[in-house]
Amino acid sequence: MAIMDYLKDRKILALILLVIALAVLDYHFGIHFGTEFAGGTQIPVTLEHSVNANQTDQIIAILQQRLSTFGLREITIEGVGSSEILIDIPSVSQNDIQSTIDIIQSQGEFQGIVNGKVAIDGSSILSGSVGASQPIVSGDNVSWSVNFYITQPAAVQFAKIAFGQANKPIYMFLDRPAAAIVLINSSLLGTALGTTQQAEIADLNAALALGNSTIPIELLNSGGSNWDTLYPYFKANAGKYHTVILENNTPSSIISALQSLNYSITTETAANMTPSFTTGSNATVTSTVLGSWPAVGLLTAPVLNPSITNGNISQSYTISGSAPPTLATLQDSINYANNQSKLIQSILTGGALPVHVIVGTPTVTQPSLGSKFLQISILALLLAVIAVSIVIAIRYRRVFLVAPILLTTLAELFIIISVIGLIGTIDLSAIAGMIAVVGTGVDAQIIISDELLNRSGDSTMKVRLSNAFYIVWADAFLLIIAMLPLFFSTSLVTVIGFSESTIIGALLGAFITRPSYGAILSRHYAGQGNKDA
Amino acid sequence: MAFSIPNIYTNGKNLKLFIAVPIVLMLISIYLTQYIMLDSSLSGGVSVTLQTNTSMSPGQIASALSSSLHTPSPSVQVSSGQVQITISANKSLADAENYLLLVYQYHSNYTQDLVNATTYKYALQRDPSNQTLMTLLGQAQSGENSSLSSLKSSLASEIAALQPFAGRNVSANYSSADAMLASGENSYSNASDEYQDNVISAISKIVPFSSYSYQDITVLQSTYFLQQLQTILIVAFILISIVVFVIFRTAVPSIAVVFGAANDIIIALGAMAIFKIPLGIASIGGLLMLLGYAIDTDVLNAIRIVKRHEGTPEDRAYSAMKTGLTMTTTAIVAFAVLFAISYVEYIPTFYEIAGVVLFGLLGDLVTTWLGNASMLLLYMKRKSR
Repeated sequence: MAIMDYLKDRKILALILLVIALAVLDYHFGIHFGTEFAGGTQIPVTLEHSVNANQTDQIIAILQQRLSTFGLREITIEGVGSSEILIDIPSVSQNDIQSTIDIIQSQGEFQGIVNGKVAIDGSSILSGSVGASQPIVSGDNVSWSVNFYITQPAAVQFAKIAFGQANKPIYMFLDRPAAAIVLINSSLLGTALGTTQQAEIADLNAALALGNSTIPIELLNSGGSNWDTLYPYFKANAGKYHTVILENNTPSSIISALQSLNYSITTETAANMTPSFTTGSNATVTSTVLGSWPAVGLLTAPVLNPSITNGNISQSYTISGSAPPTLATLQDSINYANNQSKLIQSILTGGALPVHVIVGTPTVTQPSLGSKFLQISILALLLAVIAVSIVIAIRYRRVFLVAPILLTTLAELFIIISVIGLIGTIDLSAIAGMIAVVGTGVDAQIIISDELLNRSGDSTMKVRLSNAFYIVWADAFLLIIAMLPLFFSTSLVTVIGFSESTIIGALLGAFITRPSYGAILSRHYAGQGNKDA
Repeated sequence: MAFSIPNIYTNGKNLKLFIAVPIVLMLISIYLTQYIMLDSSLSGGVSVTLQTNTSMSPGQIASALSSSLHTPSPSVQVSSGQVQITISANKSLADAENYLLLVYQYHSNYTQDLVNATTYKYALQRDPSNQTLMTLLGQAQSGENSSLSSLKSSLASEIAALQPFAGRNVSANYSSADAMLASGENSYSNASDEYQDNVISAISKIVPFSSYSYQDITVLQSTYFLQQLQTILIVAFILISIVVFVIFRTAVPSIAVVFGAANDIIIALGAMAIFKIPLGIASIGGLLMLLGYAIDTDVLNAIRIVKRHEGTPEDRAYSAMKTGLTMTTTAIVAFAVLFAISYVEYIPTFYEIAGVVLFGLLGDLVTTWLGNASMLLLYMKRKSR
């Protein structure tokens, strides 16, 4: 029978089209391998006590935010059950591992600066006292607040510095850089509504003022055309400042010039380098005020209420605000309020995790070992397919059967590898699952073959095919049921890949590959009558 | 026909005898399960993988390490260019970890009480004669004191547990609650670093290696994993049983299928005990797979023998056996390949999964064709009477 005849069958055609589509996607997006194959390091983090799913998400979000500043691509963080978190980094260098651990263990340093002086810092705040209350909804207005207590000496200090600063901002920094200069591309300034570049620079300078620790701002024209005029300044101040914060697309000649002056360089994205201004209004004036500037750790700048700037000493404070009236729905406003109070809470606690953690020993997989694992895995898959084919050939003595069994099995493997590699991660357990799929896939094909070829000739090909699929579908359904508890488990993450492979394999088998195998067989044997095997 | 196995079901008198065989195997296996070896992922401990070209045998490495590390027999696996050493969990570190968790707990109690006390103090300034607030303040203050003293004693116990590592930055600082927390945290992490250094340097004196990877599973984690593994297996088994009963809607065929699945898993566990294949986190994949495979052939039997009508039940059982043996053989071949490769190259994930499935499937041959099929045939006989 000519090949074109097989292609006329929809089931066979569907399988071929699926394989081609996935091949294109694989080529375009690439297949993602886990650290076991690609090499990398896994760091287990044990939580002080069990937490609920919400808190797990919160911890993961905080860790992601902290680690994202660190520059390694593709850090994956996942919760394992309710009391552990696994962090995978695509690096095996001792430095990267140590910095990752340091970042996990470290707490950010909070500073609240009023009028160029530190009014309050992380050590002033009574740990555990920072609490956000639920957003309060009244009509369309949604307000939020965060309460906290500070120590007695800190309260005295705050009263002094805040005295007379009513309605002035308190600039809240997390990890404000020390001995640093900001070299900013001038095109990033003056873009906010209702301001000029000069006004923005004045605002930024006010925010960055802190006596000897003031952070100066230098403007770089696009392409670095005014670098020659800036160079003498950097040269003169090389002893006073140690770090230059600049945008990641700054010309490399400027970076190397700064490095040769012994500056260390911190690169930031354009988004982080752009200060954000918000337009606020009260009864009398509309003004544009500085809101945040991630590059220097300035996260927010609420204004001081007149009631706390009269010199009275208090240990209890509230930071509050309301969602801007421009937000579309009430739900948007509530979300905004929630996010704001969470942000303030995390700034005040120095970005601390809600529970204490114990960082476990990192497991390092060298890339060389990983590629060896991959070779062995591919070898195991191929050998399993070949060995199974030999068994089939010996059992049926029909050469025709071997080709479709081999082809459907290989197609199945290719589809599983593509699906998992495109949307998830291929790890050792996923490969083991694929070998299991080779076994179950061939099992189903044996059932189909036996039902179609091996029975007395009193029923039509169609009846026999549906008999066969009754068994095949029951098997596939039961296998999926068996795998579901593992698939949905959040604890045994190292083996979940196994259940992913087998479930995808069973679904594929039931709906695509085995029907097309059945179609090939019934087309081939339909014309030939019924020879017993 | 390539195979010529006689139809073993024609003599109906043998059926009960057949059923006895898998049941005896099951009983033996249940007895053996107590000897199952858990790998470090389920028992806690340290596993170190070395890249090395050593010519030493696993036994030599194990005995040399056992004397230099003072640990009971480490398990050693050697494969091409690689040695994997597993040492049971260090008791000092395991104890210290538990005390550190207590330190954490008392520290958060303490800060909570401190915050409460401050809150009440403030409220009292505004309302100095409020008796309730005074009582609450008293409670918070005494809570503060008791948390602080519990914190102190937990830290002391942690440091005592870490005695073997004394000297290298393992010490308590009792000056404040925060200092206690920090010193407890640092002592534990310094001690585990020290332990890792000790292990690696002891190994390097015995086996020269080019690079290594070190994996440490604490006792807390491993206990949790073991409990999760059991839960997942039990839930999967219950789900499967329910679905099987829904599909067949009659008691005996359903029981025969569920029996087949349970028996395969028990036999696999027994075989793992005999052949010293460790049970690890990865094994759960194999155990669930086994459920799937066991059910494959059992469902085939149940449908062919009970639901179909052509020929005698014995003939149908025989034809099911021909199909089923081919199925199980191919699955055994696929997993034998994986098992052999992972044995030679020592990849624990593959080894643990393939070991479970391979021995389970060998058991499945007995369970299905002697046990399950015979049960169904006896059921058919009783029904036709």
